[in-house]
Amino acid sequence: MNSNYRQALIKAFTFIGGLYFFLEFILPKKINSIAGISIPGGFEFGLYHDEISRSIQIVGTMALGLGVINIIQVHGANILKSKKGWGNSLALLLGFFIVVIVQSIDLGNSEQRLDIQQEIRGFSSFVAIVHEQYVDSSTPAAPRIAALNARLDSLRSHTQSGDSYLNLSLPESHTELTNAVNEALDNARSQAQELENNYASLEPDTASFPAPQLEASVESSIQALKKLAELTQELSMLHYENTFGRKGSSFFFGAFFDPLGAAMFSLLAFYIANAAYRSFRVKSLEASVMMLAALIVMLGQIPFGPLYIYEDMPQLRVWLLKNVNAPAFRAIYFGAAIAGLAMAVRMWLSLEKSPLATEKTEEQ
Amino acid sequence: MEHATPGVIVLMLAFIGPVLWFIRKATQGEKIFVRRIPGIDAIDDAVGRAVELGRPMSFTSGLAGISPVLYACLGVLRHVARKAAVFGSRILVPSIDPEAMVLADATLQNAYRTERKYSSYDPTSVRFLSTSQFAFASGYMGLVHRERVAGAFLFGTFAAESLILAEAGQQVGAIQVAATISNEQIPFFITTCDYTLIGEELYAAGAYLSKDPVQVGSLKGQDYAKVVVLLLILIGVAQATYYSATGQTYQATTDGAQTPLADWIRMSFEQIVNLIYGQAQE
Repeated sequence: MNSNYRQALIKAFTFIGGLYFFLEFILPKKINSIAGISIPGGFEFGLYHDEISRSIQIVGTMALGLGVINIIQVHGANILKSKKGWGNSLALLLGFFIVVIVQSIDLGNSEQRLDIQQEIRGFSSFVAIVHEQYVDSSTPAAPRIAALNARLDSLRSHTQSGDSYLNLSLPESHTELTNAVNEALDNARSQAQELENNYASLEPDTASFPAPQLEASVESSIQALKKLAELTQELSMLHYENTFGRKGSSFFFGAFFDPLGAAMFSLLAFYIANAAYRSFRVKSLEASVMMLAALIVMLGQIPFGPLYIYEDMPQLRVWLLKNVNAPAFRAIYFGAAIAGLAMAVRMWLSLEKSPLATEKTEEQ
Repeated sequence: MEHATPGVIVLMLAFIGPVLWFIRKATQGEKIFVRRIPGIDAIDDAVGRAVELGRPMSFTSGLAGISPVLYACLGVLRHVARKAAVFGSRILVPSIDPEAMVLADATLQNAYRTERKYSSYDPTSVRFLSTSQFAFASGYMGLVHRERVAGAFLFGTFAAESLILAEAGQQVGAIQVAATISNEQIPFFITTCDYTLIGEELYAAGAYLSKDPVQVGSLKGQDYAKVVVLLLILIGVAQATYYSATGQTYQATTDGAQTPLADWIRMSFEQIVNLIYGQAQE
């Protein structure tokens, strides 16, 4: 594409994007009338704001892919060209791919577990909807509840299957949970069977419709299915925690990533001491003032008790922070905010030369 | 998302108006004076030192994602990259944000292209390290130590990792120039770096280096916007004095505000700041 067209396109997109967010910010949440003309139902400018924000997140996710490509390019080149420290690059890439594989397995397991769990959680709402439609529009309910029963029977077979998240062959320490799930499954099945029979025996046109015993049966089925969902969630979570993917993922994060992050953070303590030493060397008038202020703040910060060399030290510290430090920080804050606003306007209106643009040099 | 109150709109117009006015004047050819900022002059010194020692330079925008701050940083990166292209020095740009990485790479490529040195451009100069704050910090430390950088530029948004990054440069004896709008990190940079640009000086750096009339005009406009803030503060002080002298108390809607004007400014200004930088300022 011609560079001029590309620039124009970028400017147009920037302007439209900026205009949308600006209008979203300044317009009221709902406009009920414009110039005295009322809008039926009102106009909501930011109605699709969440979707638009999500689309920006998608662009960010694509950029993350570019980041991954960059890592592979930089470290792959180091290995291929046997550059100094190529072993580190190899370790990084190996680590990267192992974590990607383990995390992908974990994600697959998690999705599988969630699918089963979501289905079981949906059973109780299914019964409620079936009953509502039966009452409202006489939609036949018995065959639908029969389908639910068939599904409950198939779940029973899952409890015997070794690779299922509902498998009940657990060590003895989990006997209580195994018995509870078994019981809940039996109870849900028998309640649903009773409900199916009730629906089959009732005609919607009878004078006593809806029969009180039917309402009670629906309610007890819903409760039994909710209990089943609750217990199977516990069971599936137990199986999920023991999967290779989950264990591997926990290992990499718990044994490597988190402690290494904490180690980096703890370095700060030493660096702060080092930086404090450098700043407390009294070399100039400014350094002396800073040291004096720091000394007062530090001495005023120490725990309450006989350690204070002067009893009003904490008040002095608070005075310094509130009346000297805070206004200075606020001034910086004001300045930066105004400069940021000016920069945002310049970006929005594409007023200045973009740092991304190729500029003609004097010789050109 | 928060919605603007009429006060916010008035305040925004009071700030943007002078900026647009002086941009217009500057583009029409009016000469505008920009005071000397030693920290920005030090950028060229750091580049020169890296060239003399034959060691690379590093430039990071810290945690800055796509935002006005990043755009301001890219202006400085462009200047440093052009110098690096002219003098044949290497520049490394470690990045924490993949989107910022893409923009930094484009800036670098265009800087080399502008100087007709595109063949010297190294595609591995811009490096994505990690999106995790401390993994990035450890990657940056390793890079600075291995490459023994002679000049380090820390321009952007920083948090707890600021001191780790700055100490890494200090340990290898690099000239370090830092610029940040993150108030809490300024003291760390002052104690560790050779030069520190505070707050809005980060935004001024681009104007100072490029002498672009739009940026210079905007800079002057910002000064007038600050005069507006100053006037509001003075009115607020007068109002507070009046309240104090007459023994009245004001029921504020925002913490710490003791007069209606202070309350209004605080509420409006916080909304503007949230609009520009998002909610995560701390």
